[in-house]
Amino acid sequence: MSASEDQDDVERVLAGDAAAFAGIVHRWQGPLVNLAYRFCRDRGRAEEMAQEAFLRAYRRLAQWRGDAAFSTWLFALALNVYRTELRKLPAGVLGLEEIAELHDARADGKALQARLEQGERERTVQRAVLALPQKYREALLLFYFQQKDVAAAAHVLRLPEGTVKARLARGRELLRRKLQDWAEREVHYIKEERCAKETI
Amino acid sequence: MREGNNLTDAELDRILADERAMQPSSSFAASVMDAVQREAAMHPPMHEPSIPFPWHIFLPGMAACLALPCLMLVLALRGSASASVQVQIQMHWVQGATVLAERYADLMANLPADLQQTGMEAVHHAAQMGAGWVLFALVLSWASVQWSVRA
Repeated sequence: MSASEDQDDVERVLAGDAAAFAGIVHRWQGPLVNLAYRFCRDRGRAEEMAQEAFLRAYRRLAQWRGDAAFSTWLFALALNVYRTELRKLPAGVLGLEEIAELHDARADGKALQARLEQGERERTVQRAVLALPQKYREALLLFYFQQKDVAAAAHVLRLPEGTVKARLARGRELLRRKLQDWAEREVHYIKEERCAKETI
Repeated sequence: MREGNNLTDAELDRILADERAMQPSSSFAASVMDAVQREAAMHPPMHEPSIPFPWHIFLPGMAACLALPCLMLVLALRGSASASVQVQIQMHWVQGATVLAERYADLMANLPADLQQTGMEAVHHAAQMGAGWVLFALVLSWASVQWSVRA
């Protein structure tokens, strides 16, 4: 993605050619939708949030002065939109019952079972990230979204790199605890289910 | 998530890093551009207008800046014509300062005599050096700063 293409499109849009915004949408739709998806885990909602981010970017295009990369400005703006949208309706977090249902739905084949377990593990980690406090959630999501680039994540979050590193460490620690807690509760839940079935 | 408590740092890192990219739906870009075109019809984004110069603040200030030297010039010309008026003004300042100094001295009555004497001399000296004008200038500066901050 070329910075000069962004610059050219921005200039054209500001000169009155709204259609030139299509170039920006074309280049950045993937990253913006993906970032939104990481925050809500809902495809339809991610697209709605990304569309709102593009609209806001269009309205505020004149505020980008070129002192930061267009992508940094766009992601920071999108992050603000996503925060606002998620405050209106927080992303759903998988409940213990749903996790148990995933276990019940497990197929018998070993390979399929392994794949399901892996997928289930990934989903649970992703859900656990969404259940973190906002500042740790944002640091973790942006760090991995930016291919583990702390500086890039710090720019988007408008925070010093040291703060982002501290939040990443604390976020991972909270994530591990949360996953452990969920796992223990789930084992307890399954045991109770078995006892109830045996009693019947 | 039976294995949740067995997740290693590396595995956690891998899961978080290996997120599969999701492709936006084929109609997404068109949908965004529809919304942008609607927005453009109502409010086209323009280069941000430069911040307008605050003439309503500048002009009165400039007028005051020009008027003040003129006023001082007129006063100086008049003053040179009647030097006695200047002397009288200075005398008023000195008298006023003396009264203040005396009151100050009353307040310091409990202090040793040499300290009282030093205080009185300091006040007289300050009055003769034009401390009143300095005080006036400071008050004027403070007022102008307050006014500019408020504006």
